[in-house]
Amino acid sequence: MEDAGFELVIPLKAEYVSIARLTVSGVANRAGFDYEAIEDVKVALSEVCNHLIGGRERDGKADAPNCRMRFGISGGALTISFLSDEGSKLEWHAGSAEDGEYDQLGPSLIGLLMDDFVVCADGEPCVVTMRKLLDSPSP
Amino acid sequence: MASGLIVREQDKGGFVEVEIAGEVDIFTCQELKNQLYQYVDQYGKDLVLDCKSLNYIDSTGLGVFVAALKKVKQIHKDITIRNLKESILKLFLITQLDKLFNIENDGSK
Repeated sequence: MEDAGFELVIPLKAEYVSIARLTVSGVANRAGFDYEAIEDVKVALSEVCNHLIGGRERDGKADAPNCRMRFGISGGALTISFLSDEGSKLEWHAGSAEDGEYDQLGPSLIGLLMDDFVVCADGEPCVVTMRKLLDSPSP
Repeated sequence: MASGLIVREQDKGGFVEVEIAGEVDIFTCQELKNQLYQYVDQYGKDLVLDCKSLNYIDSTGLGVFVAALKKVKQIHKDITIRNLKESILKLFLITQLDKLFNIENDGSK
């Protein structure tokens, strides 16, 4: 399946992450991924949401801006980009020395479960983007 | 919004069996943490976490398991995790958390 992609917009709140998981599960299934790979993508997507939500909480931001997730299937890969919605700016916080022993577990899982994971440069519309290949070897 | 998590405990004498069903994620992990901490305080026994109906977990849930293990170790008890689905066992393996926990799947580690 090849397509031009589509977007899901959700409030960046804990209770909406499961909805994003359901969506990506369907997208990955239609793209032809097997069960194991679909589970990988579900966890990786959730970890991005967790990290974005956790970063805002650590910054003392109580609001929940929308997060746009752009799904694209082409070239034998599923690409998921996370974008700020109009009027809000989402940021990806890199790890720091103050992190606890397991604070970077989520970002580590993304790297282990996906084939590519890129933090977008300042000025780009996306916050992060990640890719899973259809013929990706199992981690 | 429904949480999609069910946690039930049963005192088995020498240990407390805790059935965890549904999904453990950023929305439900605090509920699981509260329950596990309560069982440690209430029973003061080893915990056996039966995960046969656990369908999803991510780093937030794994963090709760680690926190519960630290708490139970303070009273010189332990946690055993049973019946993990393959996709969830994989997360324990790639994060090397399998070295921290007693994991029993189909009766073997």
